[in-house]
Amino acid sequence: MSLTNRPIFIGFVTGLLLGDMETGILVGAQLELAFLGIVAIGATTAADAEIATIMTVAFSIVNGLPMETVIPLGITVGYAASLLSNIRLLIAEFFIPASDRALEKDEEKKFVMLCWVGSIIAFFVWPSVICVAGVLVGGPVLESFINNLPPFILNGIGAAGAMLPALGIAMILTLIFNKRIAIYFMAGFVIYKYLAVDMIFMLVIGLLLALTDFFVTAEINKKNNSAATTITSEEEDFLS
Amino acid sequence: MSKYSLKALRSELSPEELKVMNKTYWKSERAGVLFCFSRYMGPALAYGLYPFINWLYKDKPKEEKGKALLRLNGFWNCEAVMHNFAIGILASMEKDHVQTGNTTEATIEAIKASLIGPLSAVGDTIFWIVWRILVTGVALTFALQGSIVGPLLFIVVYNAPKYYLRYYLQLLGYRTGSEILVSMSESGLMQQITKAAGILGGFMIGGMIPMLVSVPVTATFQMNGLEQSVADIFNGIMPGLLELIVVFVMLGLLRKKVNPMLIVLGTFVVGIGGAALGLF
Repeated sequence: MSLTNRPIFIGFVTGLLLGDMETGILVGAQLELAFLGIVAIGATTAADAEIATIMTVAFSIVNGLPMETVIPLGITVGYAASLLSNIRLLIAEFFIPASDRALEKDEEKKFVMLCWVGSIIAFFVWPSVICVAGVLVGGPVLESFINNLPPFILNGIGAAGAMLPALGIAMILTLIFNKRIAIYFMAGFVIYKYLAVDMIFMLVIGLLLALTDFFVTAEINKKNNSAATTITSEEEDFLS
Repeated sequence: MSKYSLKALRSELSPEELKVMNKTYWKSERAGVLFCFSRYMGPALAYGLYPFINWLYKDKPKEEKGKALLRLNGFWNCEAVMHNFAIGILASMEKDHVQTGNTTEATIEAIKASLIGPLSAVGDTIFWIVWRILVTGVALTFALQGSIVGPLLFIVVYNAPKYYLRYYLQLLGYRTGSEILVSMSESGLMQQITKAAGILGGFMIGGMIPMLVSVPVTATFQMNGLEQSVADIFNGIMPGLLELIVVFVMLGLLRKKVNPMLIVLGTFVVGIGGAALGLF
């Protein structure tokens, strides 16, 4: 939950382990863009950004494939790999009945052990198997595939790669987008595009808009709620 | 200062209680243990609150303790920061259940179920969307140049406030119990926070489109003997229009429950097809 599995970080770690840190960071950054909106909310993921990043970095460093070509393909791998990596939840499921029994009898050591063993097998061993198998089998295949492609296909893959971060953004939008937010969304788009500012500038303006709305709504709520006096002090305490 | 400052919250607990709360906090860091289809984060709740239950049921019959533990191991799902808020609230309800009996098991189950939606909504909007995207955006400017500052900045800056907030919210939840949720939803504070975070998130994400997405159209055509670039025409209507269209087409497809995998493959088809026709 510390997001050490995000592409931007895991790419760096994989690169470090494979002896080419810079490639790892660059690939991780590109994949972070593509998987920005991959949602870890709920049980299954649509794409496994972690496996995609590890494999793409390995393809770039171990197989020496060009980064620009390998990255869009790696994104596809991430979506395909999710079918396999979601099995990890079934693996964890096997440990649930035993964990229930341990809790019922108050066997703390046994429960803790089940948690660790189950989690390590499901969330560490299983994804590692996918990655190693994918790189061993997929690497050479991908290598001959890329070397024999006509240039227009490589061009097209590059164009697809440039457009794919839009999917990450669209995925985040499914969570928060509505008519009221649309105007703020457009404002953000236009300000960044026309003024070419940086992220900190965007944050300050965004905070200004959000806090203004927050306090205006607070005023309205206060008026509507005659019993709000006690609550207001709690609100302020809570926010301080 | 106020009665809800971290110092005040800590000073109200007995030394033993504080020790148990601290232990729970560190164990709750493992919010993903045995994450599975039937329970989601249930095992993480039992794993995190085990020290607390040990302390609470010290002199109680074993069956009751087993029942309380099993209750925690049921279905649970929450965003990771709000998970600690919920841990505090659940712990205070369990304590009330054991010490006074006013809170029944049914109440605990009902409140637990009702916590999932609102806590996740607030937590996901603030941490998963707004805070993560902001930190990612800043870190990417370094990482895209291959600088080690990018990944390190991301992990440190993203997590630092979470460690503090998780601890604070756990103690706050423990102090106020389920009452805080009643007062928060009655006063509209919950919706207020979600709405304000949504505005900030929407604004930032709008800005990320020109930063991240590009539609590399290179095609040109002849008009009145002059060479016209397709990209220039779209940019003449509105800069970044093509990128905006791509995002909204994908949003529309996702809303129609189209599998994202198909959207990726579709993008490849458009990319390669477009390149074959000389569009890209």
